[in-house]
Amino acid sequence: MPAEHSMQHPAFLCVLIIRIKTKRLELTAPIQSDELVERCRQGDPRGFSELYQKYAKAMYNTSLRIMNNSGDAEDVLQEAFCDAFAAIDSFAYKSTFGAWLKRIVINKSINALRKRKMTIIDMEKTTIGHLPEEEEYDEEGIAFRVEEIKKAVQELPNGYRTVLTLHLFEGYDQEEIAEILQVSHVTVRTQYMRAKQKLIQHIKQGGLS
Amino acid sequence: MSSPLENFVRDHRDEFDDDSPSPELWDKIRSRMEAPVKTDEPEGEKAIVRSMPFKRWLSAAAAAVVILAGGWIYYSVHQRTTTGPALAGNQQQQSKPDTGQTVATKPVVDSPSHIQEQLAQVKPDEVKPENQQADNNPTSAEEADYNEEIYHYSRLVEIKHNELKTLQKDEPLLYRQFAGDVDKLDSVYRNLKTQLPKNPNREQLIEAMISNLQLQIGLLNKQLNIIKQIRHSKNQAYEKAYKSV
Repeated sequence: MPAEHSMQHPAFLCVLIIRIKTKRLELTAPIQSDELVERCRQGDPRGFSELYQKYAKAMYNTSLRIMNNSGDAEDVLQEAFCDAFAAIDSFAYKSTFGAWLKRIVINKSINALRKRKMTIIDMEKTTIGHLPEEEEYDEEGIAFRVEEIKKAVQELPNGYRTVLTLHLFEGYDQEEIAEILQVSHVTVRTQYMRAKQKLIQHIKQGGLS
Repeated sequence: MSSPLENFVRDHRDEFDDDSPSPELWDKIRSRMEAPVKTDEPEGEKAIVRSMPFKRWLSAAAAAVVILAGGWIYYSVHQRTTTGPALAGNQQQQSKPDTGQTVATKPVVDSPSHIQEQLAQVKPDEVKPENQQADNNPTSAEEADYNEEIYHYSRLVEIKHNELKTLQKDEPLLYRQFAGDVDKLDSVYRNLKTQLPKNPNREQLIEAMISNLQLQIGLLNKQLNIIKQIRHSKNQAYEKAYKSV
């Protein structure tokens, strides 16, 4: 027995050290444990249903804005929820469950888009080069409407739409988007500026027509 | 950074999430979740997800065990190589530990340097004596291992015995008692040894001899500790008396 103890002791120490390290890495305040998530972990089937009801709509819209196609968005949603539920034990409260789930949805959407041959637009080769640099669309004085913006977003090419959506609607900052899309920080910045210009152009044209 | 567009979206954020997935989607997800539980496949998937962190803990624990074991092996090997040669040279004395007094004894008790000195003193007169067991079975590597172990232990017994002898002058009564205890064990040891040539079960016998030697060492250690304590308390009593004067 004592021999066993002495064997286990260093292992426990390792665990302890790793725990302490991960704790220190979390700079944000600890996130309160989610009652719904805990119920799912304990195997309550209604918990999963409630989680789905709670997040499905927001996640669907997120995916839909990136995918631009309701069928694809539903496929992504299905994959994302199944994966998230299967891996719910590994959710570590480093963010809220919603943020964790959203990240899964976004990653899956982007992967699906890439499979659909989205090229993250190289700045040089962009087909939207016809948009003159000088031609600045002034957004001042435009009376925005939700429907118009939605429609204009749908008209954007895949790459622009993704970058714009992640920042404008999902609230990720440029560094985070750069990490998600595996492109440089500068590319994200430029893409976003151009996407926004394009969007405003669409809105103005849509408003005129 | 925030432009009118960004402000507008922020203010109307919820209105943008107005599309809904089809109601059947949940059924699809649920059936996919349940399907894995019924068939073994999904369970495997789940198991993989779970086994990842578990594997990590396991490997951490394994690493710790390996490091510990490595340290222990290194330590024991190192110890054996440092004490080994000196011991090998003293097989003859080992066969009769009681006559080991030829080694100069010093009044210092339980100091490692003292033991080292003794070992060094013994070394010069080592003659490569033939060992009884080695004669019987000179080829077996296992036997050689055993022999080495026996030398090691018997040498330790001898050294400790010599330390104990320093007690003879100061406390003859205690010494007689202690020596008597050790002698009992030692006679068993010698008995075992005489049996060795005829006994077919050599391995067991040698193991018994080794454990006997270990017992002797344990006993001697305890006795030396007692002596140490006695001396310590005596010293303290003396110091107290000295101070009070």
